[in-house]
Amino acid sequence: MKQFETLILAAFLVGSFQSVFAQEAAPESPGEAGTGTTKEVPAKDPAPGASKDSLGYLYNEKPKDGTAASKADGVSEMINGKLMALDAISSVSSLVSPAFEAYLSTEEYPPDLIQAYEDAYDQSVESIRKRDISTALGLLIDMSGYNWDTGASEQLVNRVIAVWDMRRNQKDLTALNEKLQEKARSAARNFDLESDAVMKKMRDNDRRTRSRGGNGDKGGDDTNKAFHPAGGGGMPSATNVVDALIGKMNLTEEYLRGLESRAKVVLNETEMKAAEQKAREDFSAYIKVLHDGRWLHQTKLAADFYRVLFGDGDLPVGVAEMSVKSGETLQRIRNDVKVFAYKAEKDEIASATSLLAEDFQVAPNHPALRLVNRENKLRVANYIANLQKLQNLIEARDFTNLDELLSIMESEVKDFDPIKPKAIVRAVKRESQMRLGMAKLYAQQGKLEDALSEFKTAAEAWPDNPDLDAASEKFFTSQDVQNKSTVEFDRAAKDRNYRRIFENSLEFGVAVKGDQVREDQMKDALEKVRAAETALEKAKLFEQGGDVYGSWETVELAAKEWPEDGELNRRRAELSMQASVFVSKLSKASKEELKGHDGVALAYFLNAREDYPMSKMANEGIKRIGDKILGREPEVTEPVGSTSR
Amino acid sequence: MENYETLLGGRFHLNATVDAELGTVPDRGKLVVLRDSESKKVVPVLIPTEVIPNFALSKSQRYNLVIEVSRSGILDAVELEKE
Repeated sequence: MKQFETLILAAFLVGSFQSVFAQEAAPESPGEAGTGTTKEVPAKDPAPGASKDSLGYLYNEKPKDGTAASKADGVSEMINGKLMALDAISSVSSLVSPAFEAYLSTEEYPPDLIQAYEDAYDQSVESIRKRDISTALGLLIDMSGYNWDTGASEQLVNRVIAVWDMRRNQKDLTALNEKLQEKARSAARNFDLESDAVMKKMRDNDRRTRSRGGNGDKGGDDTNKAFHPAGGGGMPSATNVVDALIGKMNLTEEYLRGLESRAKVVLNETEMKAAEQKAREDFSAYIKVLHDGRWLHQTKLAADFYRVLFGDGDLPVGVAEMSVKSGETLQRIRNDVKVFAYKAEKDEIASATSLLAEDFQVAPNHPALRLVNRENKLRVANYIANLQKLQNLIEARDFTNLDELLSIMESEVKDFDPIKPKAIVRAVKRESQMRLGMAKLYAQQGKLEDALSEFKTAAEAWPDNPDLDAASEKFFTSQDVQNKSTVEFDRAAKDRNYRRIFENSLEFGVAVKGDQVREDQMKDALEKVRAAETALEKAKLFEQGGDVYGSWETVELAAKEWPEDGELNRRRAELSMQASVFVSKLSKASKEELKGHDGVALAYFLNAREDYPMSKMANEGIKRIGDKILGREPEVTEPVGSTSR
Repeated sequence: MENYETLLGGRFHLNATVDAELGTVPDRGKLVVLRDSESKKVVPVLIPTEVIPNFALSKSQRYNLVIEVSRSGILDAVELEKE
């Protein structure tokens, strides 16, 4: 129990943080379940998205549930989380590309100029479809003259011409192959003729040799018979032998010539196939370059050219995907520009910014983006600048200027959602106040070192905290207030005046230290106030979101838990006026249920739910009475009006 | 609705569509929320087991019912047929 006061206070205050964060982040939070007029900027948008992500980070960094001690540790974790989130927020400016910033300052182009470009594009598509390539290339040259095209269309023309050149080269090779094939055929014919001649000479020689051999050649050395003079002793003449040899050589030469021609044909065919394949791959790669470079018009045209140049029915899968995607994006951006103008006219600059930033990121060279007038673009630039300023102010904990900026943004940007930045401000302010409270507690316990540490943290969390000066003067003066405080605590507990206990929790915390009964009473009191404050805060947000029924119901349910609280009753009375129709139905339902008129009560609950489908009280009433009518085991829920006053 | 006692035992015609089903208990019947075609208001009706039709109740379908005001102000279906 040594640090009871520390723990109980930390538990309460951290609990408050969790409640606030829970209600801010929960789906049924009023900002999201309200009138629907507030919209969040999509995360994909660089500028507002960064804001959303960064703020979202804060909400994901909640303290964990657990013991009081672990909650106390959670506070420091939360501070670290905030600092990290603020670091992330401060980097937003780098996420808005310089190109987009420059674009936002440029004047709009005349619509005629944009239309002329789009017309040239449409005509190009049509010409390619009709296989009128030269006209299409001429139109592309025209397109390259527009300054946002920056010659991309001309580059495409050059690529197409390169493929054409390759095609011409292939025609030359085909012609050459035909010649070579003719040459090979000619060589084959010559070979056949030569072969016949050689064979004839060979047969003549053989015959001559055999006929002379019968006369008996008894000459001595016959090693050089082939060179003996013709007609000698049954030997073939030298002339015949030489003729035969020459014939064989000619035969070989023709054979080799034929082989050479065929080899060249094969080589040329291989070269043509390789060139064709390379051209296809190069053109596909070029289409990818266009697509990656976000040249959507040129990507679409290049894909159309591919189909014509390579004579394929189907495009390669990758090329087809890029073509379809480019076509879709082109059309979407044309529509988005109209949507942007509409949103800007309605002052919905947050969503308009998201739309424009995303489109610019996807296709910065789309001519339709040049139609956006400068006045609206400057409003977007102003909104982004304000977002960045907002994040800087959060980082600097300059909540005074932050409030002013939020007011300005709310008035200028109809769909700007201030709930999360405001929640951050509230959370950090509470954090500072909590630290200040801890500092005071430590000071009263005489733990000046701990007190100084907490005081420093409080000052860091909120440098302009107006309580800091006063606290610095009096917090570090220890006072013996225990006896007086105990008496006051007992009186407040007896009167169920939990707010008095809450307001004096620091003094009472010290006073009841070590007294288990009073400690439990104090814990209960603080829990009651926390729940009531959470309900009031939630009701306020519901009301701000135009959800009066939800606001009333939240207070009504809280009042059931603490019927004596004046603040809850005051708010309930105020809200009852605004939500009178809904309240009346629930009240009648309750009365009829108490009388046992289940059918009537159920009808009233159903009608109340018609007014407010999310109503917990109506839905529980319907379930409860429905179970009763059907004779099912009911869940334990009290009739709604059982504690109403 | 408060003075339902004066109507106890009275029978009425109702032309309505099904807005929701609140549950079914075999020996009690089916409790449904019907939306009156004319006033567009919702009314709870208990369809006793013996009246539950052999066809499934469909949200888009209109039904003609004869209902009777019974105990505790519960409206019991006496007859039910598709329009």
